[in-house]
Amino acid sequence: MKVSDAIETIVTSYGDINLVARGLEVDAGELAKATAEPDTAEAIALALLRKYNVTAPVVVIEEVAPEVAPDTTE
Amino acid sequence: MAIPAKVLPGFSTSLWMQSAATPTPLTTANLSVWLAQVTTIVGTVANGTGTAGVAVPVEAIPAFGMDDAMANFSVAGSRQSDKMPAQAAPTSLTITAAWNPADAALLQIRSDAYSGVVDRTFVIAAVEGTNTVAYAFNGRVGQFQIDAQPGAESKCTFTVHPRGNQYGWSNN
Repeated sequence: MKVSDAIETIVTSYGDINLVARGLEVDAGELAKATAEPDTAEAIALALLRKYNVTAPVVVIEEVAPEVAPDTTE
Repeated sequence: MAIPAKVLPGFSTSLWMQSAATPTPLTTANLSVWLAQVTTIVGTVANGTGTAGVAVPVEAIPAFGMDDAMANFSVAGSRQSDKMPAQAAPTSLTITAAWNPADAALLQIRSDAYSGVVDRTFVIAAVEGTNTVAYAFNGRVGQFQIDAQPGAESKCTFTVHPRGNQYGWSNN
């Protein structure tokens, strides 16, 4: 679902907007770029979408080969 | 929505409502928006009046919030049971006002009570100096009684039943 459509759904709702936001799945990348004016219904909707569409930061794990201990046996 | 982190020492509270006969109540998200939403009812100035709002001449603001609701679970053999908070209904506001048959707000509330299906946005405004903290909610009027005993001034009593989940805090 597009973020703008999700915001519109929340803003026009007369129900529990936490519950509404919980059921809306939006693109994480689009959500990260979305902005809204403060003290507007859109800002409230955006905050709720971000609350329930948590995106985990990408963590790159580099595989490092263990150092081999020098062979001291003769 | 989060309650504004502002303490108003010595504040006074007042009740406001949308003035139209068949109003369009604010949506849930807009109940938390001060500019252009809640201000249309309570105005932008403390104790002012919005273009689409009217003050309700109440004696006092009753307690508001939510009722208590819980489910009781018990485990065989356990000495105590467990109380789990469950879906709690919003608290109804039973309000007393001096009955004035010429007051537009009270006449509108009486009309709403006769109908029973008019959703209207109400705002409880707490004001201290120029600071206003507003609690806005949508509700219906479910009772309206006029008490015209000869020994005291005429009073009217009505109950506002808030709609579930439809509330919001805002401030200026």
